[in-house]
Amino acid sequence: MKKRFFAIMIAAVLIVMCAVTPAYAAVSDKPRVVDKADLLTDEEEAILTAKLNEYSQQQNCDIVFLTEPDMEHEDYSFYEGNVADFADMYYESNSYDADGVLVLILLKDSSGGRMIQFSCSGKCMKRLSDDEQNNIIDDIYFSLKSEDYYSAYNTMAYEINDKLTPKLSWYMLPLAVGIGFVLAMIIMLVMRSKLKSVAMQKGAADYVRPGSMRVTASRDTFLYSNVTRTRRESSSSGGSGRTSSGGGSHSGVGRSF
Amino acid sequence: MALHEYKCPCCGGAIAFDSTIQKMKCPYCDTEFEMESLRGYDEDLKQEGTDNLDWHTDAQSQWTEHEEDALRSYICHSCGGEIVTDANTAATECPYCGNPVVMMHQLKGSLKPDYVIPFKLDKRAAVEGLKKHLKGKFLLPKVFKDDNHIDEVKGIYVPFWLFDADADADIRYRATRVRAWSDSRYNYTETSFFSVYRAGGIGFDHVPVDGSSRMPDDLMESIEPYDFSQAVDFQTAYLAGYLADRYDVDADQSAERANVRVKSSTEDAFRQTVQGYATVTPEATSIRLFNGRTKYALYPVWMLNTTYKGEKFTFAMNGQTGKFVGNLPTDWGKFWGVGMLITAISSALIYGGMWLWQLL
Repeated sequence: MKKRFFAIMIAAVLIVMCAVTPAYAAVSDKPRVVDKADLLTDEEEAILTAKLNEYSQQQNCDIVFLTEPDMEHEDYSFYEGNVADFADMYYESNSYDADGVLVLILLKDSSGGRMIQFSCSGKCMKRLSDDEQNNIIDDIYFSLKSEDYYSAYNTMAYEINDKLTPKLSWYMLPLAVGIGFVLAMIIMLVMRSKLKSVAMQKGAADYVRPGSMRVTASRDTFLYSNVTRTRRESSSSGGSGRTSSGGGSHSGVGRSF
Repeated sequence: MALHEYKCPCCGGAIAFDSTIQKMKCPYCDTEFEMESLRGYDEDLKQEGTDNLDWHTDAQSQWTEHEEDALRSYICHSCGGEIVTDANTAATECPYCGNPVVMMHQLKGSLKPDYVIPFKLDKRAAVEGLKKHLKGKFLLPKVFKDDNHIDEVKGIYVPFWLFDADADADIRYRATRVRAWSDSRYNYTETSFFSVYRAGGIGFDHVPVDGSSRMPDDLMESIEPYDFSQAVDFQTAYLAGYLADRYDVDADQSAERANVRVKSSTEDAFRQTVQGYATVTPEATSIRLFNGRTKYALYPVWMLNTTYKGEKFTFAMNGQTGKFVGNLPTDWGKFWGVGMLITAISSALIYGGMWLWQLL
């Protein structure tokens, strides 16, 4: 009995450990640094590619950096200057993994300015929030302004990996232990209750004369009613969820610099 | 005082009631006797029970008045030994020769029970019942289970008052129904309030209340229910071989407990007729009892005692149905050890789950 109990517990722990361990599996082999605007040297590209490959494997999603010189190009007229849709469609049409993050640096948008745009797909829409994206942009804004794109992407690669890595707040552990303790006490008290079998009877149901129950009057009278209403919670999670022109769901913030 | 031993007409040995064959049986010559044939014998015994009490006052001058009130002494007809019991003992066995004896005067007049449910299960069944009771209890100390030796097993006829009553009830409830719906902006909850009235009646037969102050009430109620259909008219012969007490809590005192139980069950029964509501709260309850009748009966109980770490544990088994009850000690080391282990494992699982949640 005891051995079986421990075996079940160990099996449960192993199952959860297997489940929570990131699966180093099917992320795409597509290029993760696409420098169309030629903002990076070959050496810088190689270093960033190596980093993104490593981080993508770790996070089980595709992390892609894309630079684009000009969206006014006639090939991109389809997007009508919508930079976010352009980034989303680039990720979708190049068959990257369903879960991923693409960061586009565009040198010339429809208004002629420079812009950085995030496009998150699948689980990364939840794992990398808009606030976290804005924090990343804040951190690299000076580098972008000074056109130090390698430094900007380098910092971004590190921060995206860091923010995609699941983290638990300090209070989560005591919370988990507290819930675990309450759960354990419930189980143990249920077990202990099996040791108690002496108690006064609540009634005399065993001694009701068969067929003696009779209801001679039965009235259900409606008195009044009241109605309360509460405003419905917005179903959105606070992110910038959107649908691309290709029909895919994405999120991600953008900012000019 | 009147004391009777059932003597075997064949060999003169003391005979006792055998629960397995439901007859009287002589343990010496194995002769069996039908209970019906002893009915006339009982009548004779009642006549014998009119012995005067004078001899007792001459016996020992050192008894105080209080002690005399609480004790009874008898002379065993078999060996002549003196049997000292408390004032409520109605049947016991001689401590010297082991012969079963019945104190006739404890069962006479208003003390005579109306019914008795004879023992259906024997001592061996009681011991087996205890073994079964100890099985599958994870937190029971292993030492208690392994080294368990029973100090005492006693078959006792416990006095019970049986209450028959009809109950008329008028109960008014406040009940609510809840309906919920929503539109694009709001969630709506409509709560409708109703006044629900129910009236009617219900009958109860043979609600037992322990009439012995020596028996813990909760222990006696825990081994219920008894099947009264197997009760028979009282005969003292059924007591031979067992212990028996006469009541020392009278019917009026016991009625209070019967009323509580009947009222509770009446309320429950009528509550079951109020259906289709989210909440039902009784607002006014009026329950009237009538046709109340009280009977006095002896019910069979096996009592077992054991001692663990200086603490006495008492178990009881329904001598008719075999229902076995008795609180058991807790292995607190195991309680906290396993509790901490479950805490550690479940905390790890919960913490892992929280981590996993971020990946989904």
